[in-house]
Amino acid sequence: MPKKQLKNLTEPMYYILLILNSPNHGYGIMQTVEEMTEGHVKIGAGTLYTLLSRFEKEGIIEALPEEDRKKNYVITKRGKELLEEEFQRLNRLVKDGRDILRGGA
Amino acid sequence: MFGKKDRNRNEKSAGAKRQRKRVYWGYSILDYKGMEAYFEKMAGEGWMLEKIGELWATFYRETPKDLQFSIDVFEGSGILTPEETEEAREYRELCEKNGWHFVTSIKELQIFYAPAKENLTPLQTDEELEENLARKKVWRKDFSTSILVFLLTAGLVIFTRIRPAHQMDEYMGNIIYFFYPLMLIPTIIALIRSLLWIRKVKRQGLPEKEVETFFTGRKRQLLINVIATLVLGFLILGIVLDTLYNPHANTLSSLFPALLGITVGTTIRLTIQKIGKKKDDGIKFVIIGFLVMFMILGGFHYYRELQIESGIGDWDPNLIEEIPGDIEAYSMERILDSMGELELKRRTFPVLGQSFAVPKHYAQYETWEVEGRKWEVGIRTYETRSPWVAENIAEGYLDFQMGGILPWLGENWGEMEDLKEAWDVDAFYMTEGYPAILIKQDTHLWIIEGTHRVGEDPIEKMKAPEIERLIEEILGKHHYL
Repeated sequence: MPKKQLKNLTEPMYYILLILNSPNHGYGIMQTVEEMTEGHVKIGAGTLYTLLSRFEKEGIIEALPEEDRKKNYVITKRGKELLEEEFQRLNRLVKDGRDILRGGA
Repeated sequence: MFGKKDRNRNEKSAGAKRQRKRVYWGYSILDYKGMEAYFEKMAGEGWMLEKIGELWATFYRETPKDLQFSIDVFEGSGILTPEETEEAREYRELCEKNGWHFVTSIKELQIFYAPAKENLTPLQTDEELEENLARKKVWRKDFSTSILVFLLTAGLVIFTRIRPAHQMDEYMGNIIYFFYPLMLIPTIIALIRSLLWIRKVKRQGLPEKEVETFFTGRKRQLLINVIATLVLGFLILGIVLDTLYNPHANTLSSLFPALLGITVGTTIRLTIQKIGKKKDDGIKFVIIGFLVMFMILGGFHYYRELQIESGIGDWDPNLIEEIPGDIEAYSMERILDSMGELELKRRTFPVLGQSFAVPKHYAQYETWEVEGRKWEVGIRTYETRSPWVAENIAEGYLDFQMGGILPWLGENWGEMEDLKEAWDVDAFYMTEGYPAILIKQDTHLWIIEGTHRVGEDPIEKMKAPEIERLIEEILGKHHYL
């Protein structure tokens, strides 16, 4: 049975991929997400680890050679495509919302 | 909570050897949320978790603390994955940086704690992901183990009921027949528990930190373990009794491959989990384990062959044993009297497999020379506790003689209605080719084997006066024809 492919990204997934446009390690990702969202999005260590393993298995991110026993990750081409698709989807959502809720303003 | 005395003792022990206690570890892996509540309760009482083994969890004395525990299912875990991999180290480091202190790990579970007052980000912040992880790593393992154990147990119970004869004349067989079905209780409880767990998760999501109750906590697991231990105790008793009273029984050697399998399996699992360092160490240890197992089995097989060969060497063709006092022996001299000049060549009275159901099981084997012809006879006697046992042994014996599932390889036995009535017994069977008679009356069963052939016709053979006299002596009565 083929594994369920990622369709829509959850908030934490979106932020992780966004941050990994430049190489970063687990704890760095957590801190950046928290700063970027002003604490609005928090990712638990277990959740982050699970997501990173899953992204790596699916070829969405890749691990870079270790530095100071720290494992850095970076987004792949496939990951960028996925992120771009999600970015456009979110844009469409915002545009549609703006059209109706703000009268196209 | 603790008296002054406790505190003093605690202070004194600081720096010296830590005071520890071991607690029976009965949790199933599905109870991991219940474990969190339990560790918090223990920490509040001044006992901090140190490690968890197969049967026991170790706690050490600490000042009572208000802690929060979090048990996380680790994505990188698996049956063939060592507990201390580089991935596990990284993951724990990540948790530590978030304020969660690592305590210990047990299989798929990683155990962390933090002071209760600290408002930390939970280890899992995505419910769907957490649920998937628990279903994939915890439930699937629990369910597949539960169903496998249930099917094996039910299979053995059904198998021993199809042919109960094989379970009757050894202690181990009796215990498997009468007590092993008890094992169905814990296996069914475990299976139902696994199904209820997943049903609840599907409906309501993962359970909250649970307070121990009969159906969620250690008490249910205790019940499961008590029954399993009881049955295991009975099985050990069976081995001991068979070793003492049934030296010819193969109880130990028939159990040997299973025991070896369990030992090697457990050793492989523990070695992988505790000694392995890399993810693919698992496969390496499994291959080594199998090689070791095959070598031991090969050695064992060779040893058994040697034993059997040496046993044949001990066979004495001229052995003449005295008639033991505690068995029914028959005077073959009197029975064969009319046939002419007799000479006893060999006579043995082997004690055969006995059990609770068959307290006495022995044989009388004799070889005579009658007018220059060899005449051999064997009378095997089962003295059982109930007609049901005797009937089952008779059925099992006939089934075996008739080839079981390979009837073309067996002997053709038939029930002799006229002789059964004539001798007024429950069952009277005989065979055409291999000269043998089976007689069952009430709790007793006799199997007469030997070269008691007189004419070519088997019925004629059984009417031979010597055989008639032998049956007369065995049954203690004349037939009514």
